[in-house]
Amino acid sequence: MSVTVRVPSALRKLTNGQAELAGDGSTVRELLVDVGEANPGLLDRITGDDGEIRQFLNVFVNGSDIRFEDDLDTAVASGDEVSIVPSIAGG
Amino acid sequence: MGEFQLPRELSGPILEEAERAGPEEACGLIVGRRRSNRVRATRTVSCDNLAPPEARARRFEIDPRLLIEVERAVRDTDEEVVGFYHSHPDSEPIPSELDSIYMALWPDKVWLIVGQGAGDEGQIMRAWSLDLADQGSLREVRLVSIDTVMEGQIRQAKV
Repeated sequence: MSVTVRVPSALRKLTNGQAELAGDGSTVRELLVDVGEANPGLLDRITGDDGEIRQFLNVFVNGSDIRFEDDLDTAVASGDEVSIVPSIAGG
Repeated sequence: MGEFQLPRELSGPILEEAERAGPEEACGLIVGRRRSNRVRATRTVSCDNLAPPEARARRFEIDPRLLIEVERAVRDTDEEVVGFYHSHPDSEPIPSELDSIYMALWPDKVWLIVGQGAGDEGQIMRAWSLDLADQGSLREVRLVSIDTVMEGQIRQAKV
């Protein structure tokens, strides 16, 4: 059983339209690298040159914001759901 | 997206919420169904404005966890989160520069904005999205009130 990654619509052109991906890894970083290998370009849209999550993007593990956990080193396990959610804001 | 259908029982409460929230911006999620080129709203989820208190008159921010919760609730149904609404307490219901930045992050969503109409029109609503067929340019979506079949802008009578 793998970890599920929920992909926002803005990034689905990099996943052949798939809203949900399955990947492996023991941390969010490993998981994103894993799904990034199967979906070229995806990882670069999620993390910046500094290797951290891009501005305006949020990553949640089972609904918990990884910024309040261990960021990309947050642990994931089989059966977890990781959601990538752009910020919802404006003026 | 060719048309955004908004039932009157949803538009009324959004306008009232915007009025109550003033001078701060109101905001929320819109759940609905897609039918080919049309989107029909079925319900709304009012959200707290999480922008810093001193900025709420000109900014809104929705907790992304609410979106995750609602999307989880409607998964495997024919409903989905089809858009977001927010208000411009002192300006027209036209996307601001900041709105446009965030709209680019949500290319398939309708952005419903409540704002001031011209003259003594009071509050009006207009709907917007990005035209994916035209390099993601901003464009207005035809807003249709289902009950009245009135197309274009929905007006709130001034009290």
